[in-house]
Amino acid sequence: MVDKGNMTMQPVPILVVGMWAAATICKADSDVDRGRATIGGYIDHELFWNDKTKTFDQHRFVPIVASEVSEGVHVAAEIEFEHGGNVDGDGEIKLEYATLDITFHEAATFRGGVILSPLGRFNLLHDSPLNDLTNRPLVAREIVPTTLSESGMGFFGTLYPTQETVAGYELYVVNGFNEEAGTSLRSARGSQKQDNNEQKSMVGRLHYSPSLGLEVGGSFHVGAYDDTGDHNLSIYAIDAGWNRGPLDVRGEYATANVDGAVEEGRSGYYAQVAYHFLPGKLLFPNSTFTATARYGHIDLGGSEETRSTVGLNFRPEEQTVIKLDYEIYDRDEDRSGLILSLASYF
Amino acid sequence: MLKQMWTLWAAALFAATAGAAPTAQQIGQVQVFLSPEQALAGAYPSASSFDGHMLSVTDSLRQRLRDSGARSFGADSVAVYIARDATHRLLGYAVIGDEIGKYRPITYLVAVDPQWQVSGVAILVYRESRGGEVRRQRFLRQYRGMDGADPIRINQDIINITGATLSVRALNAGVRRSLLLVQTAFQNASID
Repeated sequence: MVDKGNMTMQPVPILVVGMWAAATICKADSDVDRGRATIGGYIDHELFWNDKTKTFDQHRFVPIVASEVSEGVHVAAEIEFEHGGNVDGDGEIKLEYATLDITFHEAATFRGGVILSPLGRFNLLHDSPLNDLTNRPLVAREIVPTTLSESGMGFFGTLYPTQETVAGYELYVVNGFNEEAGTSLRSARGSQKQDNNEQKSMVGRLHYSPSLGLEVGGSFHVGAYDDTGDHNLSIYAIDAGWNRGPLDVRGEYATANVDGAVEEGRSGYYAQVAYHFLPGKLLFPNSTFTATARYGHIDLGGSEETRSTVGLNFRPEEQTVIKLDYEIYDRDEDRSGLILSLASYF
Repeated sequence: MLKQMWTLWAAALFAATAGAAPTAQQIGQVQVFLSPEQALAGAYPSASSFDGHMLSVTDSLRQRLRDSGARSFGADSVAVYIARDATHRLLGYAVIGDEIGKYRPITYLVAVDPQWQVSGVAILVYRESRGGEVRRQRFLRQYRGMDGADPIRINQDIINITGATLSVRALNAGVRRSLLLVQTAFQNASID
């Protein structure tokens, strides 16, 4: 037995410890724990200061509920309260996603529900605490209207072609976009309840990681969007991300073709670089600062916009961030200005 | 177009399920990767015995861990295994613990050598429906050789996995805490 200062270590038979360890592992898998829901989520809050607006915005409060119903069966949902919730129509409460996953194998999970559409990279990784800048890229608003979640079913999975490589896919049949796509893709996100036509859309993404820290992806969303189901909307996106040490580089390009619209062709892209520095400062041992720069452009056919953003943020813990950004719009100059925001998982 | 899409979807469905309804063993493989015995044997292949110690996490120990930058322990005690070879030579230590990923706990083993460096990390159970890639050696081998002076953080000395950031952060915290726990508890202690 070792007795050292304020700690005691009791040698116990290996069988007992083995049983204890096994019990620890089984604890979360037991019938008592399984089926119970876990609650978490994230919050963000923003201050915009430019010539067009000077305001606080309680942008998002997003509780996340998840449950392992049984081994291989998961339910998860995000309930988004935007802009304070639906108060006098000045906000929104919606299911950002709500999915039932049945895992047959790591390469094949069947998913149904309101699905976070695998179109581009940003849509899948849009949580505010994950991102180093406050506003989403222009292309992730106007071409891939993040957050894009759709009612549908399909499969996702992960494959390991070699010891050093990882590949993954997602493929779903969904209700798709609606008639508004003729004018704005952002306004055309479809109903979770009722498709506006009899045609279903398909959305999917393939991604491949040749080495740890590097990932490339390609994605698509195709299907009819108008009420009669005669006109197709096709969106294609490619994305890439690389991180090594304190450096993080990412980018995305997306193009859309809206059959029958006045402006059929639309496209956009962004590139972003972030550098993390001064770890463990300001009384927080796990803290870090991050400097970020992003350049983004969209071409909507009848109009274009370019936005450059520089930002400095401080994370007292990795899941919590204070961001200070400065945005410069090329055309809508009145929107150029400062953004101060907070975001955290909880 | 519609027919093509449905054909593609049906083909994907068939391909995914072909061969088979999953067996209980296959379903189990999705999440339970290693038993504690397998993980210990994998971490110390030349070990002939593992002495189990139930380590009481006292307030003093908690404070010292916090001072070292580790997250605090929720548990009052932690099982630590001491690996020895046939000649009773100390090979190292191992801690089995849990950390919450996005929704659910990840059960892991951290092996620490007598020089207080991480000699290996293994995932025993992964309960999320996505992000199981963290169990692969291409990710886990990053931890080898790290000691208490290393930050063990993404964007510094650990390369992140896109789409599994919360799991990676959880593992980083678990590895760092286990490492500091073993070092704090056993350094300068005489182990019989």
